[in-house]
Amino acid sequence: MELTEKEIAELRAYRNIPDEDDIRYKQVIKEMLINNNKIIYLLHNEELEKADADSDEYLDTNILPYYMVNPTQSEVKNFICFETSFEEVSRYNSVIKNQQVIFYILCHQKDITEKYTSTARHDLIAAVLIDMFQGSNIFGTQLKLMSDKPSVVDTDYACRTLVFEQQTLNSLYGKQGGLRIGN
Amino acid sequence: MPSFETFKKLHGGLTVGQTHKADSDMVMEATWDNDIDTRVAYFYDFDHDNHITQLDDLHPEQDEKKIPISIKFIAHTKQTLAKDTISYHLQFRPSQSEDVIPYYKEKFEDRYGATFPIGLYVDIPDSKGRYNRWLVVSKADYNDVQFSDFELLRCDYVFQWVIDNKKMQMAGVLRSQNSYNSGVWVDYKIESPEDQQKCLLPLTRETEKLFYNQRMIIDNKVLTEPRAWVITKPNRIANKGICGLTFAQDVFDPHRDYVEKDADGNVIGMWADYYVDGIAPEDQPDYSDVTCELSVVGNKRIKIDGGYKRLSVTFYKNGESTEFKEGNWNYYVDGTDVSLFIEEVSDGLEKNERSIKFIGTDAYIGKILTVKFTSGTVSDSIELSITGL
Repeated sequence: MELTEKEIAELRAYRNIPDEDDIRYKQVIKEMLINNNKIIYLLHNEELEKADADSDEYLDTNILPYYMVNPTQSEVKNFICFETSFEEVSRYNSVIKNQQVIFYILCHQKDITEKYTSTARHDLIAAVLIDMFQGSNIFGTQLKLMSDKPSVVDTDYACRTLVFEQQTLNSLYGKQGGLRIGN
Repeated sequence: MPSFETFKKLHGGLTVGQTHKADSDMVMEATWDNDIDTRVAYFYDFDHDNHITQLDDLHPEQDEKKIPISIKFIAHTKQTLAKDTISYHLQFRPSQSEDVIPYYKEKFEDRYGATFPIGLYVDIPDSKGRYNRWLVVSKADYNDVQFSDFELLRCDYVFQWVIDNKKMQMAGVLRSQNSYNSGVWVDYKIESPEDQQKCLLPLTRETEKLFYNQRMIIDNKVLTEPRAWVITKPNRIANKGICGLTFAQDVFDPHRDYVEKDADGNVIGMWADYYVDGIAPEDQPDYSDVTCELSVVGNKRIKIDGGYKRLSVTFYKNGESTEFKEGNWNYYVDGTDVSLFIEEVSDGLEKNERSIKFIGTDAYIGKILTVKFTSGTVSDSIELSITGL
């Protein structure tokens, strides 16, 4: 089935339209991560480093806009996965929602210690992410770190999950920019 | 009757056992052609194979790349339908030299620790004189180390795969792998196929690259959806010179997998991961004359307003790389020149390299950027998929 050019343009517009938070937030996060040298360094992808690859090569390789690592992992690699979600609206005002941005940091235990700091890699990555996002207004209202929990994935990866939350508008605008509520 | 010392002098100081073996070898040599199992077979490897997709009815006597050696082709066990295809045995004359295949030492023995002739193809005539392709897969002297022979399996499938954006085909042997399940797996809401398959291929620089996550379509040439597989166990050490692969069944991906048909609608090729980012693979280049090859560092995606992609050009003459020659770089999308949207950087790079960045609008997402390098009569092009961040 083919889409018209107008329909394709409407799909692309989700990347920029306010209130299409899942897509728009992830675009912003992608750009922030690939433009942060410390994040790229800490992801420690030797193959990309040797090839002198640009940082956007890390997208879909080490930086994943979903929490699913595929396919078979046959080599040591580190990942930052991120997702967006919300489950609650404000108690007395459904126009406001509690939007969450969640980072999942997975570092392979064979590459867990960073050589210049002798610190666990997943802790370092978490520290850089908290630096970047805690108290930031990049999504319109202030982000707050609500949870920072360690875990283990598959006995091979040390994991840290950061949950940032903000109060923001609950899909107030339609895709053409018109006000949804009250229309 | 000569004394034992005289006997030893006659046979060059060998032990009695060694002498019996030497005598036995002489008898074997003398009676070699008396055996109906004896026949001339033709040995070669993948790089000396002019008919890589042909399994049966070959004509090796007309092929100067295939080397004839007299062998015994021995059936040593019986086949049952319930089990995998049986192997046959190959035996050489006692006097047969391994040096008859001049490239074997470098490409198999030194490289992989293989024992001659494991890893080679052999064209062997059947009872009607038709030559069929076999693969030497291992030694078979477990029953009798005095008269070494080797295991042969009939090549029954031409494996096709796409790797590094190039199509590859190679004859090999399908082996069955019991998965002891019903063939499907149900997980709460989704039912998916679950089967296993094995194969054996010669170990070469091409099959070395077959590793986890490599997908292939392995099925008969059916017009309905074929079965796709992904490698889950690559084994290059159990039989040196042989690449053993175990596959788990994967889903057929209509967006990436391609069933190639001829003009009559018959299946002639089945390629997994044929389309990656919308780009079809290239055919193997012909290095026989002066050519150039354009390559890219990393994947074949270029992001709008993303980073720079490094491209390089290598010139070849008769298969060997040669000196770079200056030329022109051109950039097209759907046949239209888009050089205006390309930022080029060559400072700090080798003269055969260039880094490019695409600065077009989002309207180009999903399109293919063709980069073409031309130097005189020689040119090459490469396709990059334009994506967003």
